[in-house]
Amino acid sequence: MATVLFLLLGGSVLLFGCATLLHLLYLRHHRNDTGFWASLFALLGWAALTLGGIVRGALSGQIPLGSFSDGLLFLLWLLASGYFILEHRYQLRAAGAFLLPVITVGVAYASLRPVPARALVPILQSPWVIWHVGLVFFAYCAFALAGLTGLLYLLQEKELKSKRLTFMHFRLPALATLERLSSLLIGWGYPALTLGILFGAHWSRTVWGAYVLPDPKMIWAVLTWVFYTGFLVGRWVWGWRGRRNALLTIVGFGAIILNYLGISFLWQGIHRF
Amino acid sequence: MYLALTGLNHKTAPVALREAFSVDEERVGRVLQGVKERGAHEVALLSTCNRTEVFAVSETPESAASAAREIFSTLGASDGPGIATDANTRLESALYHRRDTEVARHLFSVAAGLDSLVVGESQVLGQVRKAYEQALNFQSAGPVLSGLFHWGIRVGKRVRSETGISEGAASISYAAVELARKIFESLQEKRVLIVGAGKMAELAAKNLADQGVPVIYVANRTPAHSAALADAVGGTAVSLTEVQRLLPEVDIVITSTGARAPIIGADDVTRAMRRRKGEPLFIIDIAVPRDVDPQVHTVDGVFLYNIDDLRAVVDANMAERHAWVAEAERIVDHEADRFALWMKERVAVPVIKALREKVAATTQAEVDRVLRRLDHLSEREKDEVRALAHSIAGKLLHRPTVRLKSSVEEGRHSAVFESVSDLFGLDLYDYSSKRSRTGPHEGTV
Repeated sequence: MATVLFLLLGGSVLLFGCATLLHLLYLRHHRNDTGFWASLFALLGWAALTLGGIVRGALSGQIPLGSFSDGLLFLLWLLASGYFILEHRYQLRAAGAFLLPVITVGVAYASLRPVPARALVPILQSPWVIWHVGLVFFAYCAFALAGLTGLLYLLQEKELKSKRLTFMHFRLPALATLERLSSLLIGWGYPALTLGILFGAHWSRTVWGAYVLPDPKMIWAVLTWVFYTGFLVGRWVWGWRGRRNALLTIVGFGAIILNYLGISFLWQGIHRF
Repeated sequence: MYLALTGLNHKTAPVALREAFSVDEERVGRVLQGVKERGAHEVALLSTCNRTEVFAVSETPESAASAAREIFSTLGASDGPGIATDANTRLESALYHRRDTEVARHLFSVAAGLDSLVVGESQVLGQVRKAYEQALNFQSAGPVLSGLFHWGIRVGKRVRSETGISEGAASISYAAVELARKIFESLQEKRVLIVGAGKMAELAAKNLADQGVPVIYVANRTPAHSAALADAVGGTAVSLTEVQRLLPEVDIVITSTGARAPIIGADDVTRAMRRRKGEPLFIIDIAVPRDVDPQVHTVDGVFLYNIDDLRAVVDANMAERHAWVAEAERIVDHEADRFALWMKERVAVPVIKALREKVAATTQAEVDRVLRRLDHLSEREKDEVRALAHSIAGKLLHRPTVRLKSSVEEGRHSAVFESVSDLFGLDLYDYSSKRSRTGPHEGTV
C-alpha cells in the first residue's frame, strides 16, 4: 500500500511537472495542441493526486486531514480542481502557468512527509472538525484563485499601460473578465469561510467551553474574515472596481498564506496543522 | 491524374488587370465548363479581389496545364474590348503556372494566408472553401480536387492554430476594437462618446457600429455637425462643454477634433475616475494635434491610445505575424509533401479497387454457395460464417494493398501492378500500356 501511495504521489508530481512545462510553452506559443496536452497532463496529475489521497486515507484509517501534509494535499487538490473549472469555463489556461508550479512543489513536499501512523487525538474526531477544516480550506482555495486572477489583472493592466503588447496580453482575458472572476471567487469563498469559522467556534465551545480562544490562527482567521467583509462591502455597496480590487485580492491571499504557513510553523497553538 | 494551376495575384498583376480577370459568381459556372471543354476532368476556380486562379486535373500534365492556361485568354475577352486588348498583352507576364506538388504547395500557402497582402488574414480560408463548394455545385470537382481542397482547408486551419500568423489586429481600427475587448470583454453594453464630427469621427463611429457598439453621444463645436452625425449613428448630440460632465458616464471616448490645444486634461480625467471608482476608461485620440493631454494615460484605470500608439501596436502585431512565416512555411511544405505522396499512391487506386472487388465477389459467391447447403444453421450462425469469410479475405488483402501503394513510392509499381493483375486475373486491360511508361514522377518535373 505504501508503495502504491508513493507511486501515485510521485506520478502526480511528475505529471504536474510536465503540465507546468507545457503550460509555459503554451503561454509563449499558443499552439492549440500544446494546450490540449498541457490540460491532459494536468488532469492526469489531478487523477493521481485524487487516488493518492484516497490511499492515504485508507492507510491511516481516517479522512486524510489529520496532519499538515494531509491538509496541504487536500488544499492542492482543491486548487487543481478549481483550476480546471477556470480553464474550462473561462478559457483561463494561462493561469495554469502560475498555479501548476506551486501545486507541483506542494505535492512533492507533502508526499515526502510520512503518513501519520497515529490516529487523531479523540477530541479532533468529530464531524464538526471535518466540516470546519473542509469549509475553511474551500474558502482558502477560492481566495487563492481570486488572488491569482488579481495578479493576472495587474499583468494585463501593465500590458495595456505600457502600450508594448507582448504574448501575455494576447493569452490573458480582458480586465473585466478577470475582475468579474475574482469577485465571483470571493463570493464563493466568503460564505464558506463564515460557516467554517462558525463550525469551528461551535466545536470549540463544546470541547473547550469557549467560542473563541487566544489562538493566533483563530484570531488571524477572524481578521481575514473582517478583511473580506470589507472587500465585499467595497465591491458591492460602494462599487469599487479595477486595480484597487486586484491589489486587495492579492493582499487577502497574502494574509491567508501567512495564516496557513506562517502561523503553523512559527507558533504552536491548538491548530497544529 | 495530373494537377495544374494557372493564375495571377496581387504580386504579379496590378489592380486593373486583376479586375479584368476577376470572375463574378454568375460567370463561375461558364468558366468551369470552359475549362472542362478544354480537356480537364476536374476544375476549380478561386477568384477574389487579390487573385484569380484556375485549378485543373487531367490525364496528362500537358493537357491539365493547357486547359488551365487557355481559359485565361477567354476570361479577359468577355469584358469590354478596350480592357481586354490591353489586358491580354500584359497577361502573359502576369500569369504564373504550377504543376502537381507545386499546385498543392501554392494552394496550401494561399489557404494559410501566406500569399495574402496582409499576412495571415483569415478571409482567404473562407474564399478557398467557397471555391471548392462552387466546383462541387457545378460538378466539376472530383476525387483529386476534393482531396486537394479538403487538404488545403485543413492546412489553413492547422497553420492558424499552431502558429501566431493570424494573431493580433492588422489594422488601426481593428487594433482599437481589440484593445477595447481586452479591457471591457464585451462591448455590447458600453457607452461611447465621440468628440468631433469630422470624417475621422464618422469612420470611427461606423467602425464601432460594425462591431455592434452603439455610439451614445456625439460632441462637437458646431452643433449642426454633431446633430447630423448623431442622427446617422443613432446617438445624442451634445455640446463640447458637456464632455467633462459625460466623462464619468462613458466607457470609451474617441476624439478627433481640429482643436489646437488639448480639450481633455489630466485633471478632468482624474476627477471623472474618482466618480467611476476604478471602472476603466478607454480613450482613443486620433486627432493631430492631439485632443487629450498625454498625462491622462498616467491616471489609474485610464488607457489613452493616440494614433501613433495604435499604429505601433499594429506594426508590432505584423512583426509578430512575420516572425511566424518560416514555421508556417515549414508546415505548408510538410503537408505538400504528404499530399504529393497521396497523389502518387492514387495511381494504385484502380488496381487496389479491382483487386478488392474481385476478392469480395469471390468471397460472397463462395459464402452464398456454402450457406445454401447449410440450411439448418441459425441466422446468428450464418452471420458468423459470413463474418469469418470476410475477415479472412480482409486480412489477406491487407499486405497487398499496402504494398501496391508503397510500390508507387519506390517507382516499381508497373511491375508490381502487372504481377498482381496476372496472379489474381484482374481485368486492367489498357491500364499498364497507358500509364506504366509515364510514371507519376514525370508529372512533377
